[in-house]
Amino acid sequence: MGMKFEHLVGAVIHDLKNQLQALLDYEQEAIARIPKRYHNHLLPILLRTSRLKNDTMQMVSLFRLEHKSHFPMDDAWPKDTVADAIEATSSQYPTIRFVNNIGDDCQGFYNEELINLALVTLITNCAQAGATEITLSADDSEGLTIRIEDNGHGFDDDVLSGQRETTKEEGTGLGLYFVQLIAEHHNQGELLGRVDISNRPRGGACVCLFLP
Amino acid sequence: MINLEHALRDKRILIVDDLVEARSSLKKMLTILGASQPDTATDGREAIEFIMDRDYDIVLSDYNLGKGKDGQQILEEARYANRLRASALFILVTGENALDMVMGALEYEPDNYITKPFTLNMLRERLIRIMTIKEQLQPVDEAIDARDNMLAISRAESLLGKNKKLLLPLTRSLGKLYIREKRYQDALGIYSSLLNNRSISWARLGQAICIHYLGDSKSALALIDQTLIAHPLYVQCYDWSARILRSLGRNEEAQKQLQKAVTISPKAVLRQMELGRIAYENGDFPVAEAAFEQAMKLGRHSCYKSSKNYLQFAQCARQLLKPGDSREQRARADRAFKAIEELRQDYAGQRAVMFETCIVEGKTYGVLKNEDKARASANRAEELLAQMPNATSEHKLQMTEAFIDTSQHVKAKKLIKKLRAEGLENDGIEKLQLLEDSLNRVAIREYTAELNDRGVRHYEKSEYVEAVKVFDEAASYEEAGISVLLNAIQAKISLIENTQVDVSHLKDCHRYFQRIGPMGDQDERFERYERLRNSFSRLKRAAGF
Repeated sequence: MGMKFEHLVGAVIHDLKNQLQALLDYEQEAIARIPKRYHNHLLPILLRTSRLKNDTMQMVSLFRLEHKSHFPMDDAWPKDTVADAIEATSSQYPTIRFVNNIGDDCQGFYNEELINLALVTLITNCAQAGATEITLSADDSEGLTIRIEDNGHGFDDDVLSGQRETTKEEGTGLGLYFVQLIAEHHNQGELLGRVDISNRPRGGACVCLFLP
Repeated sequence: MINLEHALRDKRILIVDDLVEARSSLKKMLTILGASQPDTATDGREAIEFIMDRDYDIVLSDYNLGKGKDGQQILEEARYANRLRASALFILVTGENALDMVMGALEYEPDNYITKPFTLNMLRERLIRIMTIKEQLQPVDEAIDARDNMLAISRAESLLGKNKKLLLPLTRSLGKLYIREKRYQDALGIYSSLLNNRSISWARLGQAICIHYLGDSKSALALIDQTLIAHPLYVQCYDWSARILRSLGRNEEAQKQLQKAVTISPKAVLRQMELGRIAYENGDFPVAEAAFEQAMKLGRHSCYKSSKNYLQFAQCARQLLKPGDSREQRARADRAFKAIEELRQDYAGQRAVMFETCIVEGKTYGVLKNEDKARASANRAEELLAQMPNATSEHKLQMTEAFIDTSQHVKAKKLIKKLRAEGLENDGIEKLQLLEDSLNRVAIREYTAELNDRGVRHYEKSEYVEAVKVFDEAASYEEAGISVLLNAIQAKISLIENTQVDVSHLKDCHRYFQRIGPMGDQDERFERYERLRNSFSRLKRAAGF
């Protein structure tokens, strides 16, 4: 067999992702057809499947980032990218209110697939921190900053000070690290992409994704 | 932002997808969003038929369409045939994996991409975005459609000054327009300024193209190599690299680059043709044969269908054919004749094509040692040539070669004389010289064969003196074969045996043996050779040597 280990792994992960996408489609179809009173039985399944798919997407992307795959960057519009990320996650979190405050004209230069993944990861983080409202805004006056704020319990001090990577007991806890990798992939010459985290004065977390 | 429902209402839309669910789902979504009666096509062939037949404002095509053409090829063909205005939208629908592959094309770039899977909302938002930008670019696109490059350039320049958000699409249009107008310095300027703060593969390739046209091909190649490190699936880089290498005379490297491009993206007809041509020039006939075969197959139902592919394919097959009857050889000959047959059917009215078809057919028969058919093909070519008022000197050179191959030397000589009188380019003069040399060689071979026959007749009547004279003349040509030399030796030995020892004849025999050289015992002439050697030794001893 001349097949390389990493190619095999890549092929398996890829199939995994496709299977999960199909599963998600079936579940959504089922939910649409089944009376509302039964939905509470199906939603957790949908939620888990969705999480599994996102994890797999992370894995695919990590794999490709590790192998220095080419993620082409192009003109992109944060309002649309954020809307897509909300669309992909809102059905799993029906109780969360999403606010997309980004203007029509706000423009960025990034790989949409990667940033979409980063946003889905960040939204999942918010949801797990108990948020009931997530607000997204952006500023393209100098590079692009996408800001995601919630009303959850915020970051612990040792995470803020960089001593610990995660606050979570559930999940891989590496979401932020993953987002950091994606930001760094968007370096433009001397200007580096980065993620800044803070807590809001009146409670809740704030994450800023800076893409030069 | 535009009002989508309003904008879609009177647009002519084509949807291309090979999967029925995907097709009808996209059609349904578009109808909900305001489109009226979009057309649908199931594969590349049908899509092209639609595009040739009707004017579309928007084409939404899946990238992966199964066996036939892919979405990118539909785009290339439509633009190549001038059936898609610059102001029309071509949107490629791709799975995530294909995106890297299709993104970044400098020429024939789709206006935008939609990544699968998508929901109605995502499609709506995407279309609003794409159509809003397209609308802003419309003054430039309209000038491009009117083929007014100057106007397009001035509009793009002024728009670029006003709207920084359009930097990318305007740089792309403007770069291409500058290159079209040979304003390489200007094109280089805008690509470079974009690259100062944006890392974009097409801009880097554009830079390399300008640098090449400005005379620094080596730097252009280095830049392309660098781009390929970051973006290894960017096939256009290989195409340009090959083009530049070729201009530097580095044809073998050019072929390698095209082979890489073909591995990544095997469905592009023009690329296969280019590879075939370079490989043929390089004498790499197996690669050339495969490339032309692909070009024939891919081009069959496309605007790239060209008699050249068939002719060149048959030529490659002919180069690779060897006499003999192995299965491989038979299959190769069959393929060549099939290509010839297709040419006869599809290009019957075109004399020049039919002429070349006869030439290549004759050559193929020639390799297969079917001399009658080879001659028949050559004679058909001759008839066609007589009806071609605009026959080129290349045609006449081909005809000359066919005459020589089929032993029609008088006709060959006549044509050579005519070609000389008409005058030829450098390249042609060289070819003509080669043909003349080969004609001379053939003539000598025929003359020595005739002398040999005469010698044999004298010998059979025991007229040894005459036989020796004639064989000596035949042997005096360096083209004389082993049989002629053996005949000459035998005649001399018989003459000595029937008259007396003549030292000069013995010396001649010695020289002839030397020309023959050592002979293996597997050779059918070996017995005769041994017998003559023994007689020669005996006579030498008798003469006291």
